[in-house]
Order: sequence, then structure tokens, then C-alpha cells
Amino acid sequence: MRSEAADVLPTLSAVQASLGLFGEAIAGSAIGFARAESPVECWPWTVTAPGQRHVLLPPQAKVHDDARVIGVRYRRLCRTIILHRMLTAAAPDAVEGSRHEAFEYVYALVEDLRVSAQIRSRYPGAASELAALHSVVASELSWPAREAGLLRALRIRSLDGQPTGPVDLTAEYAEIDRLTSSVVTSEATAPDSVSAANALCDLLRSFGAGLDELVGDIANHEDAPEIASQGTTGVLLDAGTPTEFEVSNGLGGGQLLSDSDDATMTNREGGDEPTPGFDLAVAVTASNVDLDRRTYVYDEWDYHARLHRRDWCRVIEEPLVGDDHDFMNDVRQRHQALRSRMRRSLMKLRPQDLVRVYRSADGDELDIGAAIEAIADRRSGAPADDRLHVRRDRAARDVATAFLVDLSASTSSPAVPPEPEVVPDTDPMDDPMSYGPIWDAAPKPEPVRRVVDVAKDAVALMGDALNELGDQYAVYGFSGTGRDNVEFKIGKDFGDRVTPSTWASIAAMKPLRYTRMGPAVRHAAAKLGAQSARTKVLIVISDGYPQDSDYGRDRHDRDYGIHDTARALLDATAAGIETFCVTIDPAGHDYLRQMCPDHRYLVINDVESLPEELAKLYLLKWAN
Amino acid sequence: MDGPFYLPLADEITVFEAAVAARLPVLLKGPTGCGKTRFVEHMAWRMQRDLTTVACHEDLTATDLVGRYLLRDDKTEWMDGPLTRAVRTGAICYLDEIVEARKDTTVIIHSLTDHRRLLPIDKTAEVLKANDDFLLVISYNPGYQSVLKDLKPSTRQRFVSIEFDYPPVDTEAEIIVAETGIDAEIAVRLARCGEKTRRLRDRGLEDGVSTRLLVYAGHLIAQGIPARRACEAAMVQSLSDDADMQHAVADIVDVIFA
Repeated sequence: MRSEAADVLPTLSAVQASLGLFGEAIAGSAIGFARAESPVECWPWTVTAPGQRHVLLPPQAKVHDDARVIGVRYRRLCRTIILHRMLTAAAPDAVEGSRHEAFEYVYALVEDLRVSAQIRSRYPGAASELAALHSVVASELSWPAREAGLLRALRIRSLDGQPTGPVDLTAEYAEIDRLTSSVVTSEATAPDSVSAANALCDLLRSFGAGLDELVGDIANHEDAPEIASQGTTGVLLDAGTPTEFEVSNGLGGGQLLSDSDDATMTNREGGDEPTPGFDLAVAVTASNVDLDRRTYVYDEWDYHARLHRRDWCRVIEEPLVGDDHDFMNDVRQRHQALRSRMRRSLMKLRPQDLVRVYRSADGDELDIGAAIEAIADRRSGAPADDRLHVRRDRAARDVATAFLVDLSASTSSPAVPPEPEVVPDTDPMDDPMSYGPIWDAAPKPEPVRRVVDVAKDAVALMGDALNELGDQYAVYGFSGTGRDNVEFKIGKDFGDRVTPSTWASIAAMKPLRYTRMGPAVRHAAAKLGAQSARTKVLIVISDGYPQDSDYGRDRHDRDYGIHDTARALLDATAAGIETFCVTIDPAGHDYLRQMCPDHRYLVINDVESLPEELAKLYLLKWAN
Repeated sequence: MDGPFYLPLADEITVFEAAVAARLPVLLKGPTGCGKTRFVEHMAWRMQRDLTTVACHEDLTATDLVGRYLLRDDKTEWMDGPLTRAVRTGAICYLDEIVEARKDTTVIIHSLTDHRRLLPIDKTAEVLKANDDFLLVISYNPGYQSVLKDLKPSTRQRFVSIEFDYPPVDTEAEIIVAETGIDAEIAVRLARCGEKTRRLRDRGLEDGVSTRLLVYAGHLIAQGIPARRACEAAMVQSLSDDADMQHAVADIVDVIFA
């Protein structure tokens, strides 16, 4: 059985993959998460802007709860917030100006009532978490002095509150219940909330309560939560961006931590009384030990000294983790035509070779030799073998391929060089049809696709196709600085099952530092060598010649790196691995012909054609 | 006697009957566990025909379908395969998940699926004319087969296609009630779990929870297993081995059941 209890304190990064799937199942389309900067952003009536697909969630669980139960609690809390957000409809643009603001405010409260009723009837498993969330929010609310009885009653009502307390709101409750009776049924829809909110606004105005000013007052009150004293200044993050999170202890200053650091936490400092519900308490790292990193040591070929430098390079292997779960869908969409061409080509592959297996218990035809022997045995009284058939078995595909992608800093350059900017020689103000330079400004450009983005598309498409073909494959990236730090990133390893996280890991490949290709090739070859496949293929995808800060006598020593890589490729070939280099560097011919034989490399002039060229290459050489 | 339960979703029964009347072979397309096999069983019962079902697998060859010589005493003896038997006797032959079988099987059925309605048997040098009542039905799940196993256009275009999908929530709940006898309210919740998980088809869940799995969960509930535990056993664990996906499906079940 699945164990629900978590052993470590959960963080948003740890649970967001599965919560994303949950949210998508509820919403019907992909959603993303961002860390809430303050608890207010997670409160039930905080309606997200129309079109915004990000749900703000508390960045981590409360650290002062019992670690064994907190995992479950944090998940449930996040899950309830997601459910609430997904069922909540944005306010319609019905009323203009400040009246609209007041309407929106009341609408959000009414919509909370409706959604809460929906959750209770359609998702009863989340009802208790919703009640808990409501009671936490109710206990943390501080009331603006001028809040009218009716509005206050509505707010408490939306939080499942009862008409008790210091102020008797019984009459207001009766009125609220009358006006919102249509929204608390399980069939109510957003238009019901709109009607009820309009009715409530009219009633509030008829009391002369100065609704608009009041709403402004309340909004201001809520906008200034006492969060600063809790010492967290989170950088609001978009899902999928490199994550850095600044955490301070409230004493000024702060340290920049990488996202992975929030996996290890200690209790918050100081003797504060724990507040109920989620808080954004300080996360302080105790250590930064990453158990997923592994280190390997490899020799390097010194071309000048004509010898191997023993144990010269340290390769640090590390799995990539990403959260861009839309990546593969985007790739499939971007390369729809190529994908269907690839599918057609794969379908045309000749049928698998069949191997005849004689003396089988079952099969297509009789094994005449075995049958004659069996008859002879039987007649002579000896026991007869009953395996009398010939079976034809399909010879399975037996190919293992490693894609090794260069993640050097230069892969951040645009895949298509930008057009030179044309500066007009006339003043736009002279043009009577122009409204001035501001209005003539060019629209915001599309994000520039970098070389690494194209490379990622290419290997992801190949991976997608190889899944269908049944070939084993791995996707690695490499970069690094210096011989002690050759970074070897694993997007997908051999044996890893392909899951949505696999594509997100490949999507997480990004430009890093230098290109020390030799040790990366050696490590990839070692990993390939451990595979049992009959055909082993290593495809290196790069954008320039091998180089590193200490790859040779000096940084400009191109020959050293070229010869070391050539040696690594040669060793791999000797170990039975078919190697192939693909480069998008137009000058690639100059050094690739030194690194590998002519039929073992390909220079691509148009970067954007890399996915197509790679597919063609694979189909031509290894698919058939 | 009541036949196998089947709740029509559209005009599939009418189309099937028309195809049978015109002696046209039928292709049933749809995700796993949506009721294709049940539909064929229901139609065979409705039309009072014998039904031969072959669950195709990757080692299924033309020989397995057509027949083979076996040794009996000191002689060889021809033994009809299920397809040949159906062709001779005029039964419905249902090849379930045809694309799973080896390619030579699809070639065998070509001459049976056009106007000739012939089955050539190489080994006995016989060309068998199909009985008038013979009907070939194949099924195919376009979703998850490997590209190498896709149905070729030349095969596909010999069949009248009837497309199946998972039913809407209310209908699916009705099916679950009819199959398991559980409370309608619980059946609706099970159907809602199905509806939600099917939105994750693009995220690594090939087809989402099938109606069959929902019916399994219903059976477990009818046996007294608590709803969440029944769903975990029948759905969460059966759907995926990916931890994130299991968590997400468990969350869906968790919020839908009280």
C-alpha cells in the first residue's frame, strides 16, 4: 500500500509535480504554481486574474508540526487551495471603474460561498480541509473598524462562521442567507454568483454604507498584512523558471539559496508561538548535501606529451530535475509535420527479421526431423520428445543510443541570428500619420529561441520516436569548468521509464559553462558500455570545438581538446560503440575531420533544421 | 434469458446491424476498457450468432488463426484454427486488439474482408468460401500502440469503423450500477473519478481510468471494501507506477469521496 506519511518536511518543489497533475485533472488544462508571498494570497476569496493559470501556494509546510503528519497535511492544504481556485470563476467585466472594484470585492466573497458549497457536495473529501482553512483564516482576520455589519456577516458566512461572537449578526445572517440562497446549491454556477453579488451591492448601497469607500478601506487593510515581521521576502516565481529564493531571518540581510536548498530545513529560529494554519516561516539551510551527485574520474590524452594523464578529470554526474511539464506537448506541437513524417518513416521499416526456432513445443509448422525421430523413438519403445514444431520468433530490436548534448554557455546564443535593426532616418514626429515614437514602438518580440532550445527539441523528438520504436536511449548534457568539474547532467538515463518528469528533466537542460568534450564522451561511453544491447550508439550534439579553461597549455590551445576528444571517440569505437558527432558550427568541418572519420560526423548550417537532420540521420543509420 | 449488459451510447447498434446485413466487416476503435468486447458479446447474443473471440498478442501468427497440422499417432492431422472454424460455421470472429498480432495475420484477413470473402489455407491447398453468416470484427486502440504496430491504411480501409469512447458521467454511473449493484450516488462519484483522470491522458496516463476499472472498484465496494481503499486497489495502483501520477490520482479519489 502507498504510504501517505512523509519523512521529510515537504516543500512546494517536492509536491508540485503531482499537484500539477491533480490540478490539471480538475481544471482540464495545465496549471502552474507560484509561491505565495503572503498568506493573504492563499485565502479563499483571492480570485486570480482572468487568464492566469498560476495558483499561489504556500512555499512549504509549517516547520513546527509533527513531521510524520505534516506531509499529508501540507498536500491536503495545497490540494484544497487548488480545488477552490479551479472552481472559482473570475468576476465579469460588467461594471466600470470603482463601482466595479466594489462589485468584484463582494462577488469574490459570494463566489467563495458558491465554491465552498460545490466542494462540500461534489468533493466531500476536501470539505474538512476547506473548513480547517476557513477557520484558520477567520481566526487570523483582523477587522477594519468601518466594516458594515452586512459585509462583515457575508465575510464570516463565506468562512462557514456562525452568527455568534462579540457582535450579534443574526439579522444580517438572515439577510445574507436570503440573498445567497441561490448560490449555495450544488447546481449553482458563476452567473448565480453575479446575480447575488449585484443584489448584495444594491442592498449595501441602499443602506448608504458608502460601499465603494468601504471596500477600498477593507482592501487597503488586507493589502498590508503583517508579513514583513515574519522575515520572508520570497521572489515570486513563475513555474519553470530557474528558481532562487531569497530568505532572510528578519534581521536584515539574507542569503541567496538555490531552490534545492529548501529541501533541508531546520525549525524556525526564535521562540515564537506557532500560528495555526500555513505560515511562511523562515527556512534556513542546515546543509547542502546533494545525495544525487556522483563523481567519476577519467584519464585524459595529452596530445603534446603523447601520453595519458592518469585520473586527470573529475566528472560529476547529476540528474536534471525540471518542472516544465508542457515542454513535450509544445515540442510535439512545434514539430507536428516532422513528427508525422518520422512516424511514416518508422512505419515503413521492414518487418523485423524472424528467427526459426527448431524443436519447439508449439509453432507454425512441423519440424520434420524432430517428427521422424519421435516416430522412430516411439516405435523402438524409447520415450519420444514432444517438441515437434518450428517456431518463428521475431528478432527484437537491440539498440541502445546515448545523446550527449553540449551545454556550453555558447548554446545560449539565438538559434536564428537577429535581423540587423534598421534605424529610420526620419523623425516619426514628422509623419502626420504617426502618433509619435511611443505608439510606433515595435510590439514585444517573441522570446528568442536559443541553440540549446533547438537541441532540446531535437533530442526530445528523437526520444519520443525511440519510445515507439522500442530502442533504449539516454539523454545527457555536459559542460563544466576545469578538469575537476566536468558537469554531466542526466535528462534520461538508460533504464529510466519515460514519465512526464522525464520530459521536464530534458526541458531543464540549459547553457552552463565550457565544453570539455573528452571526459564527457568517456563517461557516456562507459554508461553505454554497461548496456547489453547489440548495437550501441553515441551521438554527440555540439555547437563548437572542445574547450575549457585548462584544456591544454593555454585557453587558446584548440588542438589539445580536439585530440583528447578524438582519442575518447576512438576508444569508444574500439569498445564497440558507434559514435557520431553532429555540430551546428559552420566551421565544424575544420576540426571534426580531425576528431572523427568523414562518415562519422555531420555539420548542420541551419540550426533550426537540427531536429529534422538528427531524425534523418537516425532513421538512415540505425532504424533499419 | 438476459444477454450481456450493454448500454448504447449512440447509434452503434444500428450501424452494426446494418453492417451485418450487408456482410461488411467491422472495426471497433476505442480506448481500453470502454466496452468494445462487451458490445460484440451483446450483439452476438442479440443476433443469436456464435462468437469466437481471439485476444491477439505479439506472438500470435497467421498459423494460430488458420490452423496447423498436428501429429496424432503416426499421422499428421489438420486442426482448424479459430478463424477457419468461424469461417466454416458462420460465427462472428472477434480479433481483439488486432494490431498486437504479427503482421502476417493482417494479410490473412484481407481476402476475407472484401467482396470475395475467401480464406486461403496454404497448408491444405484449400480456398475456403466464408459461410453467409460469417462476420469478422476486429478491435483496435489507436491510443497506445507503438507506431510499428499502427493499423495500416490498407487494412483499416476494409472495415466499417465504429468509434467508442468512455461514456459521459451519468451514463457511466448507470453502467456501474447495472454491473455492480452499488448505490447510484457512489457510482456517480466513481464515474467522476474516471472523468477527471482521463484529463491526464496527455500526461503519461495512456487512456485514463477505464470503465472496466471503475466497475472493478464498484465490485470491491459492493463486497464491503471502503470506497477509497477500493479505488486505490482498482484504480490508483492499476493505472500507473509513476509516484507523482499515483499521488495525483489518489488525490482525485480522496477529494471526490467523503
